Amino acid sequence: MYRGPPDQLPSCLLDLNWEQTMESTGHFEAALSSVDGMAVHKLVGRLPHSHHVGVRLNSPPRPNLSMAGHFLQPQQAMGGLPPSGTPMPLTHLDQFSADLGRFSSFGGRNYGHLATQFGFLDTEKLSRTASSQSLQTSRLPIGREIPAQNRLQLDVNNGESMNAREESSVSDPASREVSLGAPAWSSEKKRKAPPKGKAKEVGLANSAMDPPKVAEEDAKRCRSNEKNGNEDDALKPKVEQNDGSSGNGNGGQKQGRNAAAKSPEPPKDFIHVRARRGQATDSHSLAERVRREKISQRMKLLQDLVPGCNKVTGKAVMLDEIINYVQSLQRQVEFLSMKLATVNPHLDIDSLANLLPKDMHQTCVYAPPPCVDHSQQGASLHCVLPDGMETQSAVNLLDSTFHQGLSTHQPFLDGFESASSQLGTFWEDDLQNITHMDIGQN
Amino acid sequence: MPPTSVCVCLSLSLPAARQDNLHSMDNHSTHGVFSSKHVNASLAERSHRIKMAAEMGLVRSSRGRHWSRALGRRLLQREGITGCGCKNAALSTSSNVFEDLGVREIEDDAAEIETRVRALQRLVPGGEELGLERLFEETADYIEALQGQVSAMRAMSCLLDGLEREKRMMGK
Repeated sequence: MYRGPPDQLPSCLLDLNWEQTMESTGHFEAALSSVDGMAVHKLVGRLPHSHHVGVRLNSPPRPNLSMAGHFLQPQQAMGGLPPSGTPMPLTHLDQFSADLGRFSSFGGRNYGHLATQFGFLDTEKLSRTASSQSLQTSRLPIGREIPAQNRLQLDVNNGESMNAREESSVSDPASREVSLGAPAWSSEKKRKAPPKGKAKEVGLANSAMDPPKVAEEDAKRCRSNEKNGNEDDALKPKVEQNDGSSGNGNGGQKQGRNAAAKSPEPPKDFIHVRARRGQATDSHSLAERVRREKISQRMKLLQDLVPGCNKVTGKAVMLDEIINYVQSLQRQVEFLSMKLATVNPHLDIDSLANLLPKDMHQTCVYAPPPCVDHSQQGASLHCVLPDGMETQSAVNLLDSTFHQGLSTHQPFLDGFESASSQLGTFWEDDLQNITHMDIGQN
Repeated sequence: MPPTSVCVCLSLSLPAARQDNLHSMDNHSTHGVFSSKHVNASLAERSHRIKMAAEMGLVRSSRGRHWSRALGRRLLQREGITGCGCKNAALSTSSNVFEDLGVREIEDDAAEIETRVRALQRLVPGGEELGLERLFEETADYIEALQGQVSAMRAMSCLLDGLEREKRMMGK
């Protein structure tokens, strides 16, 4: 998701409580889990303060640091690290690191108070743990428990090897929402499998998740832990994330759930379908259940698309809504086409000619060949609509370009007139080409 | 929807049928006045053309989708059969999809859902042959494409409105 240009990152990061953190601590959490090293580096460069994001230092004597330090190359951030802030955080840190040493204490309280302080996980403190020697050996996979909103890769693990692994693992799933590391992470986690789940769900007490949903995903996760090993962890990042954010009390049940052949919570994942308690276990009904699950998933998707469908429950009513919506959209298209026909009948910006049937992307790049003298209008027309359907902006853009055209009012129309006859034939050509396209795809 | 598809929708949303309007264009270019009769006479056809162009835009912008292929086929059919005169739109906008099915009573649950599903199948191009989950997938994609198309056309009409106003002002 953060694969976009690094320049986008700083703005969105700054939108978070950067200001807050900056003022309060003078250090910055640049450690977005999904940010790869380059992006973070650029991000760091934009920080108004002179504080640099330090690398996670392996040498403890360096008290000041690190923010998502481990994302950066060690060489980059080493220089210019300012002296650390108040000693206060450090004491917090020590206490926290001590806590981290014990998985059982990975309680919500640590994350809770940390999270509340900064709105996302207090990586400042956590990152300091990296430098603290006490954590050198702990290698706690805290970094994995990152909730959707926190997105901070806690660089708890020390060691350059871990560093390298993290970086590679982080940059790889950069597009994923959760910093699920490479198998290296998960392998470590597997050693601590029991606490892992706990850590996950506890760590992110902030976000609220429906317990049943989480439970189901917990079950999924458990099963994946059990059966599928590392790969599944990488495969289900979203699940992990959701799990992590639950903070429910189901963690204790996880192991028991795995063991039970029939568990109270209906565990179902994409690979294995477990029969619910007291239900038929033949393949037909299982497949049927899977199918129903898929259908309900799609229904949820449609619910999101169709406005005003959230409150509606029940298949029939929702289907009604969907049907009405589709019908209304189609009617709108018809109405708008009529409106367009009346608004400006002589203005022909038709650019069917431009559309090379084979290549759609080209159409947005260059202007219609027939309307040579209006290339600027054509180009603006084609390329003007931004991603969103912001009609306002589109209209403004188009308006500005058309103002240019107005000055050359006469040739404007004349050009179009000449083009129109050519375009008439293009229409047929296009249609024929479409058949070829479609047949080719069919 | 990707931006390219939006552009395509926009570019296609304007009418392709210009041959019949050459006269009006001539008039306009010379006097700035066009005969309304001329315009109205082909209004229906022009709007039909625009609609076809819009649907073609839909098809183009979401190529590879089942419904878009079905819609393209339908469009081609109409174009081939009717040439320029037919008013049949590929997108049927009959006010009540259920009517065509011949069923309107509230039956039991399953049948209720069944009728609705069938209605949806008629709405979504190419939906008749799809199973339920595929149908929902296609519906979602189709809805997105329609939304994009509608906003593109709205933007275009706004633009043209403004343009025309400007021209009128400049003309005076």
